[in-house]
Amino acid sequence: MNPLLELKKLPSELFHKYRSKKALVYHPNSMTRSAITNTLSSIGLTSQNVSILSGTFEDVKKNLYEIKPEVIICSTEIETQSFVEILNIHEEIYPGRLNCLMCVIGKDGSLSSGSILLGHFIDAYIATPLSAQILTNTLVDQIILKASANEQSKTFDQARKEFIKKNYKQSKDLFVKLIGFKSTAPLAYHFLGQILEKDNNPIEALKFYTTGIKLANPSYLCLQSCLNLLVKEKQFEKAHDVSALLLEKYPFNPNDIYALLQIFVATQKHNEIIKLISIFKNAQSVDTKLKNYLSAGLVIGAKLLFKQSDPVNAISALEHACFLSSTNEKVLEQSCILLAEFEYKDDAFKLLEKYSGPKMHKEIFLRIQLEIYDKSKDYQSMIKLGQDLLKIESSNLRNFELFLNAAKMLKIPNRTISSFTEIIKNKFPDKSQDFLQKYGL
Amino acid sequence: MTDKTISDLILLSNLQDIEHLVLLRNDTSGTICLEENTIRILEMKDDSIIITVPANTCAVSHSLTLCILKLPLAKKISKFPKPGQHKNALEVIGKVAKVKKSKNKQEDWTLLISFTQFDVDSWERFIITYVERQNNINNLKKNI
Repeated sequence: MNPLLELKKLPSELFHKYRSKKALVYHPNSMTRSAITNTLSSIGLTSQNVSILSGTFEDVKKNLYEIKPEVIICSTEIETQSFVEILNIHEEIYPGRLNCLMCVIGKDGSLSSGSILLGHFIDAYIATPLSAQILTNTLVDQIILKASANEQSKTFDQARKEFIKKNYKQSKDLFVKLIGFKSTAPLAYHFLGQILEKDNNPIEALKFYTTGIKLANPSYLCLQSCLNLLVKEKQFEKAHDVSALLLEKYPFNPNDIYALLQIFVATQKHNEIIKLISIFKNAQSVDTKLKNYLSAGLVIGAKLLFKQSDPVNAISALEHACFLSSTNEKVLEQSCILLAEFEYKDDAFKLLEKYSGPKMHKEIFLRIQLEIYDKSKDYQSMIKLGQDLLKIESSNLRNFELFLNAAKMLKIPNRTISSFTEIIKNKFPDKSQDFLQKYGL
Repeated sequence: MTDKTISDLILLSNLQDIEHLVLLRNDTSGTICLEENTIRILEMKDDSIIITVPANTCAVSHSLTLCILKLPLAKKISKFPKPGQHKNALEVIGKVAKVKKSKNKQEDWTLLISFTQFDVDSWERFIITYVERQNNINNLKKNI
């Protein structure tokens, strides 16, 4: 049999250790939950100790606090909430991580999605489709790694435990010791920098980060922390060099898009913005979640290009943002508003026409039209949409806000728009008084 | 430090995942699914597969033929391929062993399909593709 298809087994002492542990499994798909549960059983966990959930985020949180499972396997999103909050609670319950495990299951297996692992202390990011080998071997490897922790690794776990508990002095003392060891130095520098940042001492923090990133094997977290602090301190030339080092060593993390764009603008590397946009434009076969990150990046990039008087590339970036994220109405709305803001109203309407589609809710379509006219100061056109606003019985306060603002700008008498004030009073009884007062109604 | 620009260092390949197109023919009812992004593989077992399909595609004990192709394709598929038509296609025949319907009528169903006819070596190579992918992701953690 191909060795990659063999199922790894835990040594018996670890298997028995895991018999007494509790686990929480969350995944929206029941067959995936079964696969995870079977895997947990194969590494020693007993069925009565495994809680299997498929409900709400609040259910998961409640169970987490009640059961305090040492092991969590969950999807990257629980309803619409990120796993990060679950990780934070797990770390609160178990700040020492050597005897617990948290793994996250996601849909995308690209290295950029995998880089999600790099920014958080989860034990594994596992991409679907799953197989017994993928699940079991990933978990077995992590359990064995933790169980074989040497003295430095145990000290590191203790140091990080103190950091999570906000005992920064004790944590710092331990991390200072750890910078003397090759295996722990990369992350120790990161955490020493973090402690100084929490103490509002960015200058000293940067010293630790800068030392850490010069090691032969700089840690991802140290590089990212260094980059973020340099951007915050507006040291953009240095930030540029650090981001290049980060990308040499690790796959691109879409979370870093905004920092990169800020760097390009500040260092006047206009061509880099164009190149970056060009890369994202070609990312059609990428996972939906990644596409949304990239689309958001394209919208930000477009704004920067408008400010640099490059409307041609800005409009192209927005076109591709909408194309990439075809189901994301927010991107379309932001793109249209941006076009109108920079006086490209016609392009805004062309974009809306092209990407709104038959499934777009009339209310959202109306709002985007109102936003475009509002940014273009075309108040007459906004008033003309008033009838549509009444017809669809909008329940979005923003629509009324835009409409009434237009009426105010055109000095339309109150009696002419009385039907709107009545609707607002009926639909938004709690907010209507303050809201209408703003418009002298 | 590198001489390359930042944009040069962002590899499109890092943003892309392995992608397969799963084509389905329900040999019992005649239903065919050829569209991209319609069928998703959730799990690969030794002699079965779990996939999500549009609602009402099949029922338990229906016989299905799956043709799995690596993307991107040179041409869009307009007809269910004949056996051996695509050189690198993975073709399996199986029976629907389990159906999990969604509470929401419009949402996809999950199927467990037990193979009745498949090439073991080809199927194992297919699983290995994804095992190797996971190993690459796991290796990222070594330098966290």
